Amino acid sequence: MGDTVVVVGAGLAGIQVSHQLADLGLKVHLVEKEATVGGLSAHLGKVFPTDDCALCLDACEELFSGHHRRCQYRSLLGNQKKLNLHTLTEIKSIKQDGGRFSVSLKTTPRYVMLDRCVVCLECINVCDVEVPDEMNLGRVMRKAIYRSIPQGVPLAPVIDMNSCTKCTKCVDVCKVGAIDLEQRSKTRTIKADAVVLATGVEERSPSILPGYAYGLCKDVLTQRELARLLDSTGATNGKVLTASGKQVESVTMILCAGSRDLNAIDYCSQACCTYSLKHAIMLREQGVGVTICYMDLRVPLHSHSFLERARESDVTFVRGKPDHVIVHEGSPVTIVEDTEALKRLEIESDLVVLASPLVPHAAEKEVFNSFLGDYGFAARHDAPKGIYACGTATGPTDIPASVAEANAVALEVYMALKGGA
Amino acid sequence: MKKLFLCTCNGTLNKLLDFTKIGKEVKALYDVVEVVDNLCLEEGLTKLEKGLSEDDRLAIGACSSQIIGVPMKQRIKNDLVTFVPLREQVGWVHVEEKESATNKAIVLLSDASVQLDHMESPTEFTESVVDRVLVMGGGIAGLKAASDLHRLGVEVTLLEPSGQNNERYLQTSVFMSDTDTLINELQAIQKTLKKVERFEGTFGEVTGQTGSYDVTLNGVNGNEKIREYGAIIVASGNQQYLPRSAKKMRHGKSERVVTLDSLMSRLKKKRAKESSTILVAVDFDAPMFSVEGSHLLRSTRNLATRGYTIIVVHSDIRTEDENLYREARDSGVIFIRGKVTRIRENEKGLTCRIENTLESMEREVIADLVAIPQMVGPVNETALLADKLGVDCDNNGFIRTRYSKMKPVQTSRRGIFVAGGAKMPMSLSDAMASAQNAVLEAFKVVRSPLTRSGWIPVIDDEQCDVCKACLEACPNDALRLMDDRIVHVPAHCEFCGICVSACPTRAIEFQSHRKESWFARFEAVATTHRRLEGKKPFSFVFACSECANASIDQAGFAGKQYGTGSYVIQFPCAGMVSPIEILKGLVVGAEHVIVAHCPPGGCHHQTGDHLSELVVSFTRDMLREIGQDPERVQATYMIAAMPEKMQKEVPVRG
Repeated sequence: MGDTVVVVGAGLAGIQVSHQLADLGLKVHLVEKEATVGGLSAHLGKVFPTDDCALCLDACEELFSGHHRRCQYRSLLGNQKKLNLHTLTEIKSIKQDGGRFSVSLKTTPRYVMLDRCVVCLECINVCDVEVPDEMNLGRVMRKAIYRSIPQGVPLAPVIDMNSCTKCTKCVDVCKVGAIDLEQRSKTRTIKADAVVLATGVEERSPSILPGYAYGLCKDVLTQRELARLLDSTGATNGKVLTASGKQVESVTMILCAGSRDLNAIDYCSQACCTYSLKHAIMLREQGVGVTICYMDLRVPLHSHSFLERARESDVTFVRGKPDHVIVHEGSPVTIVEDTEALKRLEIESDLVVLASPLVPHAAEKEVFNSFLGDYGFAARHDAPKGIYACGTATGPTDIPASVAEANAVALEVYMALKGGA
Repeated sequence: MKKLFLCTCNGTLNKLLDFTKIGKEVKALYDVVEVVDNLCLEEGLTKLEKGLSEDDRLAIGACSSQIIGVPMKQRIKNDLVTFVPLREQVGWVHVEEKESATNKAIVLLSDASVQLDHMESPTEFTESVVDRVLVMGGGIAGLKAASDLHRLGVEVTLLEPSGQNNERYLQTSVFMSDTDTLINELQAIQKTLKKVERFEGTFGEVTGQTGSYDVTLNGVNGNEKIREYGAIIVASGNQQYLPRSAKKMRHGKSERVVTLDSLMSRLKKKRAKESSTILVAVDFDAPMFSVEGSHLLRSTRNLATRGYTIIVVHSDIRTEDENLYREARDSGVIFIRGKVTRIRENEKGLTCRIENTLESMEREVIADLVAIPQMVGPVNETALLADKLGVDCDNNGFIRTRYSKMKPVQTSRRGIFVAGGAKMPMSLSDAMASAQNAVLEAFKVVRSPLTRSGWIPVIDDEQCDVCKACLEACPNDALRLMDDRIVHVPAHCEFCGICVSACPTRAIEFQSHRKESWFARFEAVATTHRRLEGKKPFSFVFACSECANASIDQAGFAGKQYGTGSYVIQFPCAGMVSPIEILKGLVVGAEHVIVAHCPPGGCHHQTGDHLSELVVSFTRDMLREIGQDPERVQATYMIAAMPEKMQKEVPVRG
């Protein structure tokens, strides 16, 4: 059997499975559609259960001399011999041919050559074009040549050609000749012996969900958007401000906003309870009042301390799922029936934060359709089709479970290609 | 020769720092000082390679060691190398203060020169490993682990408790999945185990280290053997027990009160005669694992579809599968959020008083039977087993893993892994995945000899009075007592240096980080600082090489500016810092000494965050005692997700 594996998606699960496979001696192509790796975790700043960095990776064996895990920028991702990282790359097709796969990739140009860029960032300094930074809710500006997060791997910037004016200032300042504004898209086909989907999830946009005033009121956010405000490298240096720039004093969180609801997404997204609690604690540390409206609090045991800490820090819990959010004099008001006190409450707050369901990325792309099951999630191993999946591609979950699933899949792939009977 | 390579990073760093002045000031400290434009690119690396001979000591003043170190390592073999991150930790964070930033660069390069004088080559070692794994079974994950290891061609012994058979496996795993799936899985795995060595009994002493553990196996019929294993997987599984409230529910007193599982096996596939009512009383106070919730929902759904009237009285029900809850409800199970407060038996059946916590109402229900869901815990022997293996348990008695986010099977001891229910109650598929995780890690241990390279602790037997403080302190069991001497076990060592700070007699010195080298370095920093900056105050930041250093690098990337009189000294782990280094820092004139470690509970070596807090608090007490200001010494954590930490800890000085 051959030993080439294509891993689709360089979020935490994709990176984990790739590292493990490379450590086991297989040749891995890790394909990421964004300019930097990390997936959803790149947006999150701090994560549970350990309350530390989202961009922390399990150390690969090549690096391992007493190290266990490393920051993304300190990991060897992108430099490992057995691991080939393709960023800005999408899967065009996956064809099965006997036991093997032909995976065709299309790489859109970064316009910055990874093997030449020294990351001096002078190109960003000289760029005159400013556009709203989508990574930070459009509340700050970024340049046309930019890096979306400080430690995203690869560290080299990327040019957003839609806003670039081709003034060539960046080309002139780059004395190492790393910028090529004429770079073209490239396609290539990889013959692979196994394919692992680690395509992950994203927060479903609540704009399709009526009643919660998302989109109508700029102070109704999702938990991911709140994470960007809380992130000290984000738009507001970690301060939580309303869209009009006022310091937020009170926040109401609505859990299961659009999940566990037969009219929206009927499954439970597993991770939202805990990350909402994590955010509630971070808000309380800044002195912001927090009310959480919930149906059930489903916090896994290894994260139970978050629930305890939230209670200790005087977060108000209301058992009840809000019917709707109205906008009163520009501020959101949450209407909820407190099912424990049997009272109807109208909660005024500076910010309403929705725990929106996590929906699979893969479902958006036709190329993956035939590998997906209910709701667009994939099975861990689809034996007849010979496709593996791990992380949130198989269903929403938290980081520990994603990592464990990635390791399990790494072993399964290795055993299928190399291991014994 | 001692050489310094400075990189201008594409001609940008020399705009932020005065390279001419730097060159002039450090000329006396190095035999060769060379400035290159792009050290990390082919042309720069070639220059470096050509300008270097094998035994040169080398200082690199460029970007973070984490960035330049990678391509450099592929090109040059020199191992006496130190990095001064002039970009992330100087140029980028002091953009408004070119002069002071230049001075800071000079101070750090002077420090690097002294560091190189004291640097020793890392110790390299290779140890052979035994290609055999012991699976301490009992749980279904153990069967899976043994099966996969066997398929991988690894020799494996499956140790099972006496009397273990398929029925027992089924009984102790009943909560993990529906029964048919469980039976099928069990049969399928058992088939693959025909050629696997199985041993019925327990184990006695475990000695040795990762790659070669000696284990005494005690058989049921008194036979004892000692075998050597490269790695050990603990998969002792679960057992079920009655909740505390069972007695109050009249369990054991009334024949009509039974456990839910025994009821399920008693009723087997029987349909309900007329309408019999079963009240399921969930313990109100104990938190429920999601597998327990799923099992409860599957069981009650099963009974409801067969015509029984099922009332579940519960607090929070957790399940990993939302559909189970829906199906149970759809099949007619009645859920009441609340607590059963009293049960009375009479000829009609059981009168159960229920306190409905949602509606704050009490009501009475008459049931024919009361079923009590059992709770899932670790097997009784787990604590004993953990003790023999030298691994930690959590508050619930399960075996603890060393970092909950991404070390799913690694215990506190190297080469010993935990799989399945011994870690926490798991669903069948999670337990299988957990077994695969353990197999992967064990396989990586046993498949090739262990090679490592790093600076290690050196123990001076003359100085050592065998107080064993280092044994207690070492989080990784890398120091052991053998023949009244402290011996270093390289296979377990993580090169953190925690043992050094623990030693009261200074009998342990760490290669390249001996006390004399710290003293000389601090003095070099202080003298150079004073020469260049006069009376301007300065501080030391003793940063661990993991999270804290990453945070300081990230301050550069995120452009978080801070004061220039701040000198970051990198320690392998903050746990290596002892009061001696802190006090020496103050003695040479630092205004503040800040010890920066990983986040609470997040030390890469397990205990450094905690230990450094202790050391700092102790040092502060000492300062207070002698009438000094304890505020001059601080401990804090720094992580990459909080690059503003440095800014907060080191205020900008006017």
